[in-house]
Amino acid sequence: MMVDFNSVDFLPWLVPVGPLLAFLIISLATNRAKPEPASSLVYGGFRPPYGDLGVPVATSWSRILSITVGISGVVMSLLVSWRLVFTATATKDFGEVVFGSSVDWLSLGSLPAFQMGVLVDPLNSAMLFMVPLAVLCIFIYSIGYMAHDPRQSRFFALISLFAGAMLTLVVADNLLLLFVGWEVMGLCSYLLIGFWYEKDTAYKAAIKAFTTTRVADVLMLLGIAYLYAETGTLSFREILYNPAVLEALAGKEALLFGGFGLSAAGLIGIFLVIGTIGKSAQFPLHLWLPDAMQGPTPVSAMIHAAAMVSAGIYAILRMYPVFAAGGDPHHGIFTAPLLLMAVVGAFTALFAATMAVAQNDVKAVLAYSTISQLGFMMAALGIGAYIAAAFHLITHAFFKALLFMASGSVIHAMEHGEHHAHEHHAPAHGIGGGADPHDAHSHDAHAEHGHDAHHDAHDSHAFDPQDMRNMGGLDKKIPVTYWTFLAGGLSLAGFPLITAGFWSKDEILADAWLGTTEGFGPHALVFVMLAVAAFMTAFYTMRQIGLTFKGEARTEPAQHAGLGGQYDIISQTMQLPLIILTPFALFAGFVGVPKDFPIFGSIFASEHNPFKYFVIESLHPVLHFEAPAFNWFPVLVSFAVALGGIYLGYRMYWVKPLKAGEEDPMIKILGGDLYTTLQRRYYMDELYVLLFVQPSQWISRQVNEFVDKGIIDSVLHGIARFFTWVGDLTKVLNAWLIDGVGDGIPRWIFQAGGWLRGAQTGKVQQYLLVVLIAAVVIGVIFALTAGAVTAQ
Amino acid sequence: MGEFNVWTSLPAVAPEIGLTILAAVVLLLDAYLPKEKNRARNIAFVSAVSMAVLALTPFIWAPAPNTSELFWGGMVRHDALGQLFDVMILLAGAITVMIAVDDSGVGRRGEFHLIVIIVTLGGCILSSSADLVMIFVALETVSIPLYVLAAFRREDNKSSESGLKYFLFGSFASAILLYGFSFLYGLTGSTQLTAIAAGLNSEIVSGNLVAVLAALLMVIVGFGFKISAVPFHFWTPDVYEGAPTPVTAFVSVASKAGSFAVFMRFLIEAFGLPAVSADATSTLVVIDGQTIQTFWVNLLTVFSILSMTVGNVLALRQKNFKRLLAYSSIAQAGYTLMGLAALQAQSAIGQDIAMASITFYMFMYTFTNLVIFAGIILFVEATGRENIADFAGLQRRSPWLALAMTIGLLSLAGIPPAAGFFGKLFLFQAAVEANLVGLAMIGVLNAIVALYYYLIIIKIMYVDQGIDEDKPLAMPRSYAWVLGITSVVIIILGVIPTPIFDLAQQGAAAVRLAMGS
Amino acid sequence: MALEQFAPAGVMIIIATILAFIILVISRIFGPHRPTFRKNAPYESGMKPIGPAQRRVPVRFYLVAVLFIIFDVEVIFFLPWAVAMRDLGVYGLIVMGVFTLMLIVGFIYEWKKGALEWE
Repeated sequence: MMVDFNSVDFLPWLVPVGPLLAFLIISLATNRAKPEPASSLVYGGFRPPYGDLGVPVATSWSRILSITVGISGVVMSLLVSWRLVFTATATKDFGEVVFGSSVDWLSLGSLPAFQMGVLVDPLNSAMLFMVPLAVLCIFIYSIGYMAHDPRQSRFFALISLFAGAMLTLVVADNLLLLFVGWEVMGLCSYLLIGFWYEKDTAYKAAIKAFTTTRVADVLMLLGIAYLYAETGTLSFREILYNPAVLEALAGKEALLFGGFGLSAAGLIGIFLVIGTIGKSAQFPLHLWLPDAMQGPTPVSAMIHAAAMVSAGIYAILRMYPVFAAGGDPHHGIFTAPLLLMAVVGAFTALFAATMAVAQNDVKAVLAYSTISQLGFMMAALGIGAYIAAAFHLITHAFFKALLFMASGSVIHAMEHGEHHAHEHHAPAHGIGGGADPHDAHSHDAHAEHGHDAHHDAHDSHAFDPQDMRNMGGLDKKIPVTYWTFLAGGLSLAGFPLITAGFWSKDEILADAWLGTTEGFGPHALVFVMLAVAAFMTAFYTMRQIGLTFKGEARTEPAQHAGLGGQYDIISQTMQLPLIILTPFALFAGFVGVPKDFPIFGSIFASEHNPFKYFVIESLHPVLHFEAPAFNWFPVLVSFAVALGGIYLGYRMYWVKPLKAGEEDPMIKILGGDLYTTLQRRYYMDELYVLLFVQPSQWISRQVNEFVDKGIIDSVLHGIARFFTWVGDLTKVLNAWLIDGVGDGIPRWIFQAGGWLRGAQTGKVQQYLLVVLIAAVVIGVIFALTAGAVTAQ
Repeated sequence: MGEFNVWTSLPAVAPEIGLTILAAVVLLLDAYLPKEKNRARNIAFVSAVSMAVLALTPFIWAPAPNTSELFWGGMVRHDALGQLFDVMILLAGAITVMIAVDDSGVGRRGEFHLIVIIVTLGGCILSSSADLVMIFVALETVSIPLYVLAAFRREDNKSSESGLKYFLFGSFASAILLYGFSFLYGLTGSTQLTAIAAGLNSEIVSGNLVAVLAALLMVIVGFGFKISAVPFHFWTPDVYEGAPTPVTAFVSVASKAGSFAVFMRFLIEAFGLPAVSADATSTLVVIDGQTIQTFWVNLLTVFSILSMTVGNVLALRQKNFKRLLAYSSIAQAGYTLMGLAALQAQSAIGQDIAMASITFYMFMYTFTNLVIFAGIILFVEATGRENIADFAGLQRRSPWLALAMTIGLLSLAGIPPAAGFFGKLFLFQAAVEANLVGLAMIGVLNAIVALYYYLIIIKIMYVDQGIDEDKPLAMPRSYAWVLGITSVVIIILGVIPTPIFDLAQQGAAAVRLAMGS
Repeated sequence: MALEQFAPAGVMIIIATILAFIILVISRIFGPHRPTFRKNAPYESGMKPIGPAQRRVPVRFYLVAVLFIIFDVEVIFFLPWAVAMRDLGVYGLIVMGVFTLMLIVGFIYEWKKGALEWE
């Protein structure tokens, strides 16, 4: 590998370097920095007044350093990535020509050395366009969002590592490096979800996320190992672009369940899909994702949009030929992993959407919508809609990052408002002479947690700044957030023609419909379920926006909500990314408009569908997709479900906004039981506790009771008691031993040394010294005589 | 080394096998004999008689073939020299067990006899080892139980101190020795002594004279400890004085005899012997034009002179009998070293006499020292005192004991008709044969000095007035037997030394011929 | 003896030493040092420490340790024999039998002498 900074073959190496370096520098340089003291000036229960520039965004050098270094790292990645992307788009026949290089990494004796390398092809250039941009927005957002957190530098270090890992995963040219990035992200998600580890729920969520994804990762590693054992390589290009290898894999009977007709490719595929089910939070391993909002909101944006969950889908996209090996979903031949993906994806899409409908937490709605949207992609992959899935992955990342950051902004505003409200009350308390117990409590909490932990500290008030029922009328308070949120929301809802979400969802439905018309069962299932899910998506999005922004403020904090003044740095850093992302959320879809689509097709795809034409080249040698002919039916369905959902939500929550103290109309429509069931996530958590946690706890307890306490402990105690007894019994003997022998010998030797003077001192050391001197003297004499005789 | 054959190899280790079985039997006896008064005594008798019988095996079942053949994978030799050492070590073990029987706190415990058997076993292996590994293992088999024995009287501080010191010195010496061995192995790639000689003579070692000398130095230091030669003797008085007396007796003979045997073998087999005549081939190791033997002969000559002189001079001033014997034993080691130095003799008879004289000296020294120690044990057990002055008037209290000790002392002093006379005579003869007349002269002078303190003791026993002369010392039957037999053996050896000496000479010739010179 | 053959090993040792040194220094320079009581406490698999680690141990443990070593060595000796048993044949079997017999005698001895009991 040549180190040539102008060579596009070398550049991919540099993509993850920036953030990784940033991680290293920040963690090494700021580790010794003293954390911000939790003085009343900075935290003490009262937020510093917003409104002018006097906000301590960076009150110490470690903050400034971590922000500067962190942002620089991402900017570096962005520049390198975009350079690669633009070079790629300008390259003729990109796909057959790829950028990349590799080095011999692990020599394996007689086998060829394991090659570690990087690769940029059409698929990941799309990712390289999206990921650094989204990450940069998240970083900028974090400046303001974490401005009050004493561990801001730690946050930047971790999130840099997160970004670095994601970029490593994206540019990897083999499954092993991909898995490395994958696992580092797992670690980062654990550290970041549990960032406020003082908070019970946060660290529990962190452990939950980590263990859940670990379960899946282990199986995925198994798949990787199996693949390596079968093919002797993990390089994408060597496996994916090699029809012979794929055919061999598809033709071979699998190690497990081979008798049921499962091919090696199928088993590998199933293992990899399970890995993705964990990482991309698909049913039944989806439980960790809603809990992951316990982390700071930028982390949620990172996990839900830019990095973590995308990685799962990306891995499947990357390895797609393996899944499809031996099958052809376009002609109704499904392999086991494809079927698994189609069923799980479609089910998850619908299942998560139903739960999203009944959530009151502004972030929870988004969390479920993420699961649901990932289900869309999964299902699309299952039916062979490779391009559509990739397309939706990109657009979804944009609008979901936007939505998450906007919701963070909302929460921020609510907290701000709550402080404001609190300030109004404070003098009354003061005059009343009674110290507010909540104050003392919140001081500590603030010092440690920053904002999101805030609502924890306010439990006594039963006020939750994330609860949409406490909001209302925020559109006038935080207009920038409102409009950007609206843009993102409409994109998520798939508002026809002008939003990115519409185009990508439409394409999935179009592909599904195409299969349905040819009479393939899975396609039909996917089509129906996704259509219903899309309808619900549109509905709950409108419900969310309506509850949050429309009507009158339902609580006092909502009345005072605000992000601070126009010139406030926090306010600016939190709004700038929203504004950057909005155009992408709205218009990114135009790169993927089908050629045959009326009017739009001729505007944006005069020759062919640009995105599709570009990305399909990734699979050039092994798979061919013919563009589905334009069909009115799926388009109309898309229109119908999106507009229908939007209209319903509009009617229910915009036209007649919720008033303070009013119940959610959903409860009346669904009935209390169903509503609660949805809100409680179908009691899945409880079910898992019942199925896995309690049995394992029971077993542990039994082991503890009977084996540990009963057998081992009693034996140990018995021995211990016995020794105590023996110890008591032989205390006299011991005393005699210690005094008589332990102390006696040295004393005696000492005395003997006194008696026997002269050469025979009785001291072993002196004797040995004499011996040593004698030996040295003899040695010298030997050496001299030897030398003398030799010299003659 | 021909093909390995178990049946032809068995006689080479006949005493060792017997000792191993004996050890197992004693172990079981100790475990299963009912607790009664004579328990330890019975065990001791079994041990002593068995060891004495085993001492006969070389003469009855397994006479030495005196070939150059190696047995047990090149580990041991089977020759008369080794067998003579076996015999003396076995008898030393038997006698030690017998004289320990009535020593309170030592002989009353069954495991004492067991440990003595194991030391004997180690000594027997040691005396016929032909391989560095075997030497080291055997040496440790001798040493480690002896550390235990030295500290055997746990409740006695002096005994514990003695054990600790012995252990420290012994392990130090072992470590140095092992380091030297590892040099030799590293240089030649072999642990087998004759192979080492061949390796040292070959091209691969050329240019490594200093390394070989370093190895030689370390080996000499290591063995110097074991045979308590000056300047490595410091442990001897402390250990001799502190250890239980039977143990001291055993250390002074068994360990020393075994060490001398293997030291001699090592020097001969690893570094070669000079040609015995003009047309014979020399087996000497020559590196970079330098004969290694020159170095060790000169060094051992110096050590010999130092040991004799320092031992005798310091012995003059001693008041404690055991300490005196310690210094005496240092001096005796000095005499014996003279025999090693005489190995540079360039005639067959000279080399044979050198080896045979060492063997004979050790043989007679075993009995001589043991008879004196038996007397001391008996005396100390009865009176609780061990200063020389306390022996005053012993002749009146126990004439037979006094007589036995006198014979022992005369033997140590080298006065006919005791065996010591011929022991010294042969050594001086060897020195003269090797053109070491000066060394022989110094030896004679030292013998005269030594005469003084030995005769002083005899004078004290016979002439001086003791404080409780009227109390006769009872002599238990076992001691009477031991004293009687050993005294008789000393006298016999002093009158007709030739059978043993001839045997030793035959063995020596076999060793010399096995070397091919 | 070509000492140069050991050069890679020497380089390895030097590098390992330097690396260890560098790592220690780096963590010393960059690592935060904010010891707390909890951090300084000895970690005992999550159990609360119940006493100081340096305690007097009854001398009997020494005996146990010695016994353990003896049987340990026995196993080490048995294993290669078991692997090569067919090659060694009857001779190997007898030799091993002798070895085992010695060991058993020793075992019986220590058993009878009460070395396996605690008092």
